[in-house]
Amino acid sequence: MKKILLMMLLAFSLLLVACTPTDGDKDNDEPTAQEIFEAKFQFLEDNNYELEIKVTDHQALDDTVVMMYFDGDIVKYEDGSYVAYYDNSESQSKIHVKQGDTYAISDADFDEDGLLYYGFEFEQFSVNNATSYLMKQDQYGSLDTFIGLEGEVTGINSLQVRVNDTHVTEVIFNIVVGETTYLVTLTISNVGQVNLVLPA
Amino acid sequence: MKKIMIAIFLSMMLILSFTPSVHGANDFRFDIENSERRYVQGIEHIKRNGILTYNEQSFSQYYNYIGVNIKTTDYSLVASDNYRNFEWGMSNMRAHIATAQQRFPHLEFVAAVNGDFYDINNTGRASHTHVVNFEVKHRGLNNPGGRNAIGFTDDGDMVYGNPTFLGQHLNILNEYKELKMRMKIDRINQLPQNDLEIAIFHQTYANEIPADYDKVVIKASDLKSDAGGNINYSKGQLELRTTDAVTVEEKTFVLVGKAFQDEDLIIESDTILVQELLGNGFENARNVIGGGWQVVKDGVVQHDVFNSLPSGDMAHFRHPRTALGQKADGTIFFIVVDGRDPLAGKYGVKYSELGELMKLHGAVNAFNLDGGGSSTMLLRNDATGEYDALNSLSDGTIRSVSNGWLFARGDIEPAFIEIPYPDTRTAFEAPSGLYVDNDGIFHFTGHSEHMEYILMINGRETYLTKETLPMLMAPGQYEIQVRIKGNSEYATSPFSESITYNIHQNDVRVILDLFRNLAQGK
Repeated sequence: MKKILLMMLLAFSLLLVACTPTDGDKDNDEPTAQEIFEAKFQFLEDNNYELEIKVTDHQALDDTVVMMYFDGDIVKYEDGSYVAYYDNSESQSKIHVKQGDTYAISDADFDEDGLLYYGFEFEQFSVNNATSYLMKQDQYGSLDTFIGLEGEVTGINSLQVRVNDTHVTEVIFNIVVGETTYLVTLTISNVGQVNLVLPA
Repeated sequence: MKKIMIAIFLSMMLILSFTPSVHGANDFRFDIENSERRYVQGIEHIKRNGILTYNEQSFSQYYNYIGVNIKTTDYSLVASDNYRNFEWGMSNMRAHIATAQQRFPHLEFVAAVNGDFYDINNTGRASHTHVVNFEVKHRGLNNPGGRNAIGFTDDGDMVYGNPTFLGQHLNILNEYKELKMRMKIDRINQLPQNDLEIAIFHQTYANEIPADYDKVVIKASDLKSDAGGNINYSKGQLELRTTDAVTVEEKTFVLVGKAFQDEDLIIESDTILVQELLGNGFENARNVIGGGWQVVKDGVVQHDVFNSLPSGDMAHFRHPRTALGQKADGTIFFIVVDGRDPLAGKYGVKYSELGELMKLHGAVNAFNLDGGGSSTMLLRNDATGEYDALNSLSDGTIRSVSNGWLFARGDIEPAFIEIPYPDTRTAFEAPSGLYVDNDGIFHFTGHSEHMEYILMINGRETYLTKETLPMLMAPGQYEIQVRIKGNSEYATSPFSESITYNIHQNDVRVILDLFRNLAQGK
């Protein structure tokens, strides 16, 4: 009987040894919340996507929609039939504006920071749920400084980042101009699918 | 006997010496108490008051003058009304301006003055001729008495007197408002007597038009009748082509004749206009309205004419007055004299005094228009965009009148251009290269030798003679196309490709500029 008990103990021990996790096991590879957050912004390194900018006027119940396309150093801006390309490949950026059947080229001085979400850090947000993050209340001051608010735009608030499995899909926030608040929805799509060529 | 003759002679001389001068021109004087002059978009405005002395009578008078040379500037005179379709009507001059702006969106209306006498107690029909942009809505009176018609050609020439009537004519205008065909109407409410004749049947014709005749039934968009109930202006579009018997329904008219066998002669997109062809110089007048007596003729005030009028005639009474005058250099001006307010020193004038005032301001020819409570002179206030009344309104408010004159600036769109039928012209190529620059100026490439364009913005057409245009419009989305207007040699081009121009309200523009600038950083 004693032998049987010893055998069973040995067998359990072996079983336990066999079941002990090792360094290479899955549980040890779970990404942290910060890593998940940062992964959603990874696409910005390639800088290839479409961006719809929608400005909603709460009072007029009116939406204004313009499109931007990003492909590396080239950015295209479309507002109705107005089309402009921005070329940031050289130290002196250029702007190509469609004028009828041709494009007028001129030098341009751009803000070096890029759109506000290029600088988002995990610490600035609270995790709302698996698909959205909310900017912490104490972070708006730094955000205002980051995008260099001046003149008529006086502030941004209620900023939410929405994500899907792979990347950020929407950045939604209020923007205050004078005393009027507008809702801005930045919708990101076609990641990696944009192919821009500067006009000849 | 000799003594008696001498006594009679002396008595007559004595009587004659105390009779006021009937000519009186020599004793006309206007002693200015206040006079202000300014220019509003090139229109000269004089506001003046003083003592008018004429025929040994002196009265305080207030009047306003507006004038501009329509030969040397981009100003023209446009006849105004606010008639609804199938009716005449009366409206105040501000409503006239609004209607004119709808009709001619490419013109800028700066000033307005009331026009002809009219049927004030009933229909609002103008007493005499009324032509707007070559459309003869009222041909005028057969026997106008002391009335005149005054019109203006595109060269700025003033035509006056009375038009002759050359008969009702059928005008077939294509979709571009080019004159495809003009044919004299041979019979009204009577069948054609041979294969060459054409006839028109109006809704006043109660019988059936028999079968076998070629007929075109036109659905009317407007009909205008004279005081006798005769329809002298008919406008509409093709409803039906038939040889069956028809009766004329309300708001339709029927054209009958062998010519209408040709199915291409009148098609759905054509506009059919049946109206009087005017003669005596009025055939070239784009805008015409009626007026009253000529108060200055070839530089002479018509005192003799006025003195010959019965003592009860309006000529001999002081009232607010409106007059139109033409100077030797082509300047057209209006004077509106205040009246019916003696406590304020506003007595109004008689015809002779009005004539003297017009001559004082250089009129070679001048005409009395409707006066009294109808006298109205409006001038745009550049600060507010509203039209301010310059004269004292004797009714206390702007009276609703039948028609009037507007000073308008801008290019005059060619109208009734005669084209060949069948139309064998080749079309201009469509303009290209449309864009709006960063300063909001619209550009395109058209035809350097024929710079007449139709610009269409959100479905609304306007005439253009330049290849640039400031887009001074309210925030919104605008679909823009342009085409080259045809002439006798080339047909109208197709429309260009459309562009979309967004004008954002200021806040939205600020937001978009912010993101646009930020986005360029990457």
